[in-house]
Amino acid sequence: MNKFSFVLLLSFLFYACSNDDEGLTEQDAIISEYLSAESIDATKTSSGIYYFSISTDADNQGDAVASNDVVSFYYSLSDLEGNLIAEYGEEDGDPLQFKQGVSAVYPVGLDEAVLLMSVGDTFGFILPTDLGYESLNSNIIDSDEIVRIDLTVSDVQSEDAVYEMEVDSILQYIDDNNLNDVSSNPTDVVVQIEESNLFYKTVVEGTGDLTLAGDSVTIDYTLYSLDDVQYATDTDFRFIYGSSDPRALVSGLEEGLALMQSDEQALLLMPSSLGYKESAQIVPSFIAADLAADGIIPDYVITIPPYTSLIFDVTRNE
Amino acid sequence: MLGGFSRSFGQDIYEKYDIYRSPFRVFINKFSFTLTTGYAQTTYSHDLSGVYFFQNAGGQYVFSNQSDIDQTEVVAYGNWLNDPSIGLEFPFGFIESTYDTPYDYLPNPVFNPALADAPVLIDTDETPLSFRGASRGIPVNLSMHFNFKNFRIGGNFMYERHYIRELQPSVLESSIRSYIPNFSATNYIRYGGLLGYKFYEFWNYDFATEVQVGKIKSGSQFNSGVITRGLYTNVGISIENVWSEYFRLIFKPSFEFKNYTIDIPDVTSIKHRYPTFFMQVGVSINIPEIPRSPMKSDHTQLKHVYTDPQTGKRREVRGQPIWKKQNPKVGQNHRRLWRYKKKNKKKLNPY
Repeated sequence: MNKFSFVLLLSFLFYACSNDDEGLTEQDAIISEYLSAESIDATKTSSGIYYFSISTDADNQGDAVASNDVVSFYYSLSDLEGNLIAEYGEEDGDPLQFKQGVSAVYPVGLDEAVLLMSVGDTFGFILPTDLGYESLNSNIIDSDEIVRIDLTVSDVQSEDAVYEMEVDSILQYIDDNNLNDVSSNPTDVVVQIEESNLFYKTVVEGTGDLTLAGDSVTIDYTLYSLDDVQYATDTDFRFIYGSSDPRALVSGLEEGLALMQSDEQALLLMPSSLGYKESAQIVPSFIAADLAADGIIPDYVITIPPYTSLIFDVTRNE
Repeated sequence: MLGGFSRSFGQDIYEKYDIYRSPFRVFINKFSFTLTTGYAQTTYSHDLSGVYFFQNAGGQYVFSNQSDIDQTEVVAYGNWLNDPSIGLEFPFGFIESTYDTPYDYLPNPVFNPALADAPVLIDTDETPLSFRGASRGIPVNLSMHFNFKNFRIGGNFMYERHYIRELQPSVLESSIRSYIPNFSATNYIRYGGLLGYKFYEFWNYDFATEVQVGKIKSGSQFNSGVITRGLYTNVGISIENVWSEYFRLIFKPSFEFKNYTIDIPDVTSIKHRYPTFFMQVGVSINIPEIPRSPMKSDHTQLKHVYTDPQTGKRREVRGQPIWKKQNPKVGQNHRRLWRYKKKNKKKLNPY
C-alpha cells in the first residue's frame, strides 16, 4: 500500500511539472505550422518570440535601437489566421512612441522585440501569449491568442532630445497664441523656470499667501494638450499640498502651485518631464480601458499618450 | 464459576452469593469517555453593509456611510475581524483614485505592483462587498456521555489550535486586496452538552448521530469586549468500530454552525459566520465494571468469580484485556482476526 501510493505521488508530480512545458510546446507547434504555411524563415529568441525581417533599408542603415531609447514606430497587428486586428500606419498620422526598457509598453513582448531592430526596418514578430495578451480581459482579443505584429521603426531618440523638442513646441505655442501679449492675454507674461522648464503665466491676480506645505488647498483645473485636446477637468478638487501621503500631484502642477496665491488663476505649461513622462503605449489603443479596469495599467494611460506636453488652467480657490 | 447463571427470582445474584463488585465501577461503567483529534476547517465569511470600504497602500478600513463626506476628519477602522482599531484619520480629499489626473505619474506603469495600492472607495450599500476565506485547525476533543438504551447524553470539552488564513473579497478581486488578519494563530475552547442516538449497527460497526451545543471562547487575539459570540451547534455522525464492550475506535465527521457579532464604535456591527467542518479520529472507552483477575496467568474468556485466598472474599473479575470481548461467543476473539495478522506472521505455525 505504501509503495503504491509513493509511486502514484511521484508520477503525479512528474505530470504536473511536465504540464508547464507542454503549454509552451503547444504554442510552438501552432507557430511552426503557421510559419511553414506562409513559407517564412523565422528565428526564435530565448523567451519564445519568433522574428523575421520583412524589409530593411540596406543602403541607409539607421541607428540600432538601444536600451532606454524613445522608439517611434508604426504597426500592423493580426492573428495567425490572417485576420487583421488593428493597424496604425504612416497614413494615420505621426508615429507612436514608447520608451524601451522601462515597462512602458503593452504587450510586454514589444519591449524585447524592438531591440532587435534598427531605424527603417520592418520586422514581423510572433508573440507567445505570456509575452502577449495573456492578462487581457477583453471581448476583442482573446487572452490565449497568439498574435503576429509587424513593426516599422521610423525613428529613435534619446529621452533628453524628446524633452528638448517639447520645450520648443511649448515656446511655439506661446508665440502662436500671443500669450506674452498682456493686452490681449492678461495679466502677466509667461515666465520660464529654467531648471525644470515649467512655464507660468498669471491670468487673474490673486491675494493672500502663497501655498505652503501642509496647507489644505482647493483648486479648479482644466488639463489639456498643446493641440487643445481636453484630458481632465474638475472643480473644488481638494488635497493637502506638499504631503507625500498618499501620493504627490503631477510635479509640474505642484511646482506651479508654489508660485500661486489664493484666488489666483494661472496657466501652467510643462513638458512631459514634469507631467506623465513616458506614460505607456498600448497596442492596440482601444484595449487600454480594459487593462485599466483590471489594474494592469494606471488610469491616466488611457487619456494621456507618452511624451505629451500639458497645459493646466488652474484657479486656486483657498 | 458462576458465570452464566440465570438470575434467581426476586434476588440479585450478586447479593445472593455475596459476590463483590465495586459500586463505583458499576456506576461509572455506564458512561463512555471519548478522546478524539483530527482536522478542522473553518470558513469565515461576513458581509459589509452600511459602511464605506476604503483601501490604500497602508491597509483596508471601514467607516460609516452616513459620514459627511465633505467633513475634514474621518475616522476609519481596520481589523474588523477580531479587534477593530482606528487605522486612519484623514480629510476626505484623499479618497480619490490616485491615478486619475492630475496625480503624479507612475514609473514602470505596466503591471506595476503599486497599482494594487491604488485607493479604492466603495459604498457597501451600493456595491455589495463581502469577504470569505478558509482556515484550519487541530482539535482535541474530550467527551463523556451516559448510555441509556441507544441514547446517549453528556457533555464535551474541546481545545482547538486554530490557524487563520486570509479572506478574499467577493467583488473587484483585481483591485481589492485580500483581507489579512492581524494574527496568524489562536485557540478556541468549546464546552457544552451532547445528545445522541445510535441508529444503526452493522457487524462490529456502530453508527450514532450526535448533536453538541455549547459555548465557545477564543484566544486573546479577539477583543472580547466588542464581540458577542453565539453558541455553537455541532452535528455529526460517530462511526464506531467496536472491539469490545469497553473499547471502540471512533471516526467522526461533523459540521458545526456558529457566528459572532463585532461592534465597531460609531460605525456598525458586523456579523461573522464561521462554520467548521471536522474530521476526527479517536478512541472511546467505558471503564470496565469489573477488574482484571489478580492472577496474571488467568486469561479466562468468561467473566468469573475470584475468591481471595486470604480473606475468602468473592468478587467478579474478567480474564480479558478491555479491548477484547468479555464472554465472547464462538468465533469472537478468534486468533485469525485481521488485527492479529501482523503478530501472527512472526510465528512459525500461526494457526
